[in-house]
Amino acid sequence: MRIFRSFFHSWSPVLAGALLLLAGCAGNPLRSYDNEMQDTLSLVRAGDVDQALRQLERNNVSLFSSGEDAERDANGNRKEVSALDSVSGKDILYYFEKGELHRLGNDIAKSRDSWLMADEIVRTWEDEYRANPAKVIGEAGAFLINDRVRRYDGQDYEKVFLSARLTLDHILLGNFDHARVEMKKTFEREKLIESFREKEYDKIKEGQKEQGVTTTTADLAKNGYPLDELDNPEVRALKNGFQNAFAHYLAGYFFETTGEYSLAEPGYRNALALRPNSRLIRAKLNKVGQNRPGKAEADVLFVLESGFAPARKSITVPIPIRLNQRWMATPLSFPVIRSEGGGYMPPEIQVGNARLPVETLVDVDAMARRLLKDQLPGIIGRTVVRAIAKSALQYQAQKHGGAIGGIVTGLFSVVTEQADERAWRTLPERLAIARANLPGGDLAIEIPVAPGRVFRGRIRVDPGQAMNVIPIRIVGGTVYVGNSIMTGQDDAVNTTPEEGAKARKAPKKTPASAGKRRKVM
Amino acid sequence: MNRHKLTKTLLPALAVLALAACQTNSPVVGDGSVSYGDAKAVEAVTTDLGSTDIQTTAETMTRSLLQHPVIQTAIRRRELLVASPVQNKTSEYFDTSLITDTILAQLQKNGMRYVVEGANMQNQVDELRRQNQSGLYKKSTTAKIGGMHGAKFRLDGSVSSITKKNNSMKDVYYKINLRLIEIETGIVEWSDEKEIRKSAKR
Amino acid sequence: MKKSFLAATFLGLCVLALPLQAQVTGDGSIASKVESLGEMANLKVSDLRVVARRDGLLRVQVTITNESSANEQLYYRFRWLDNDGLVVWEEEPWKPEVVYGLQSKILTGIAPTFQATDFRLEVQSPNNSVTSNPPPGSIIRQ
Repeated sequence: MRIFRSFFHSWSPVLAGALLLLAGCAGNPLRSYDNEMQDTLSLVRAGDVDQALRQLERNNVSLFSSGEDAERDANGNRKEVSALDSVSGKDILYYFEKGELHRLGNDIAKSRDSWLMADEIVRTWEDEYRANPAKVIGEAGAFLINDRVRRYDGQDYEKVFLSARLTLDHILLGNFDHARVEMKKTFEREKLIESFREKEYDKIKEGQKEQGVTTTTADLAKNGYPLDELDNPEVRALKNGFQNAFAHYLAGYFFETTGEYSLAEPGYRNALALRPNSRLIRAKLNKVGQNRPGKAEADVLFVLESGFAPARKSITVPIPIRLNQRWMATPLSFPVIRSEGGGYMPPEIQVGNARLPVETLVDVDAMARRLLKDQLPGIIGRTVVRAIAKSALQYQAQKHGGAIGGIVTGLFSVVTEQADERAWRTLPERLAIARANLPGGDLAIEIPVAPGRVFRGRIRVDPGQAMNVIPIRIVGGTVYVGNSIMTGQDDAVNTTPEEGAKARKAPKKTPASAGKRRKVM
Repeated sequence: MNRHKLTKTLLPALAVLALAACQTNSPVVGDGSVSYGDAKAVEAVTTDLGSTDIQTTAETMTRSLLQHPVIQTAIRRRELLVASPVQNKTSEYFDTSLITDTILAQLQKNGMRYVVEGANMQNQVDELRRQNQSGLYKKSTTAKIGGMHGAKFRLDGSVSSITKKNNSMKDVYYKINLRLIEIETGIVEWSDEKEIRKSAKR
Repeated sequence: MKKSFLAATFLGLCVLALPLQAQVTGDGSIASKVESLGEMANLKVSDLRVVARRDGLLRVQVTITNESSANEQLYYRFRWLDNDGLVVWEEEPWKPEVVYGLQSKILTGIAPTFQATDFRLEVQSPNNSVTSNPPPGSIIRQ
């Protein structure tokens, strides 16, 4: 795939026509990632992770390696040696989504492995940037390549979130040393992205001046682009589109548990800087190491996630550009954020006798908007310059190549005039936390999944465990509770009687990895 | 053999010898892309707290402590010191034990004694329990429980920072404050500060 | 003949490449205590005092004067020796110091150990005259 794509980079005009034949493949510029993911997301909403995983695999049948020549392991599964393997390598989105689906299916080890593959791709990008910042920034400002045929390295917030989710996986698996390393990487990644964006911003401004692009976001708004959606209070409240308050809070929790208070303090402090109104974070600041759990208690961190990350969709806006010495309103495509919606976050949960307040730390929807808002000037510049160049090409083709040339370049225009829709879709829309010192043993948990509907289940708190982190995912009424220390007592779980819920049997697993998922609809 | 021939053969030989003497082989494996640097060099890579800051802070603090009569008396009387966790009030992931560990090590070279604390304390307790409760050890060699010494003084403090940024530069001011507290009385016997200013062009 | 000339050049280069060794005399003058990595063009050690108090810790006070009107960067560190001239403490970290134009700056050093009875001051400035030295082993990103 990768070979194919880099090839495409340099020969895009020639290959554009040929590519029409290859619809449905991951590396193809006609792929509508949003449409492709809809089935997978519905399956997750319905609580069928196994089927969702199969759907994901079907969507990512590789163009070159699906044949018999692919390396296979003992069980006949295709071997995945490295994400960077140019032939069998799938794109980063595949690994993003697969890791997430395994996480929901409570197969933490597989989820970690998949995300480590994705991480390899992000690290390649980081190394490229470290080794040659000018080149990577230059690529970001390359004007003639359509955004959707660039290699997708993950959006900024996805890169940081990936690292935060890997940290959580390591903690759930009990690999605290790996978690420690991963956290360090998260914060280095944040710094790297920050420096990249600063430099890129300067470069884009400079490039636009050079190319004589005068179109601004205001012009876009005037012609019907929904700019206010990118400019709401939640978006403005964010410092940037990539820093992850949860990653910092998790560091605070982690180091407070290990007794390294001098590292826990900056964790809470950074989290508070990103979520200044959070009471849960403020309660911890300057009180690190206080209110530690008693002998038979554990400091339990609930990580509640709801919904799916928003989609990027194309919207066509007529923009006046100068073609052949005339100003013409030309329809051009730009990405917009379309919320998946339905991400219900309960205001509190009930665990045992305690009512725990739930506070949102990460709003992926707002982050995606913020990031797009920051990227929009660059996207405008590239789109406008490309449109000018292309119309010149078309003009030339019609003049010299007759009808056939016109058709070829016409196709090229259709192919390239779609905005980039790729995004990690199974990422939650919002992430919230609840935390308390809870007595050890089995505890009843009640999670509101929609106004008036409650999920009831049981979790196990183990004071002997170094860290008690319980991830909970709420999507469309289905609740996934991942609890690495929960035993597989299916009968202990009640669903709300009034809904007549169908309880889906969780497969029997070893106590270390067993989990529950219940449909409450 | 005439003189001319002699110079013709001998001098190049000498030259080769000289060359060989100049370029000795270093006992190094590798292609030269990785090298060892001076651990004491001034590190100015970012405005974050770095090796130079840790080293100079620990040095300043140790020397200031060493001059103080309380410490000099403590060394003579072989009194004990313990380092409490130094608070990190900055938003940098900086392990303050990097500073206190160095201070303790340097003080100990001058005869100061200190006791374990924090994460090391857990290891200490574990080992004591293992020796006494596992039943694996010879009675005469086990360390007895209840014999650990309490410290007379403790070292405490905080690291704070103020960061200012504008379009062209970033300026960070760090203040590291340390105190020596007599545990029984709570009296602060000594305190000192180290200030560091780091600026970077953006 | 050409070859012999080449050979001579090689020999000469080799001699030049040998490190220059400075002899330090123990007469107690400023020069005997200060080791400069290259000749400092603008910074001068103008005063040097040594006191050993009753507590046995050696205290050193050095005055550095900047003779130019521009700010000068100084890197310095002390080396602590005992009666026999042996080093009694690990290498100190290099300390960066800014000396403003025409300023006199006082640097103080306190022996890290009671065994120190003598010292050397190592100084280096990026504007040293012999060659334009980089700061001592400084790690600076390109």
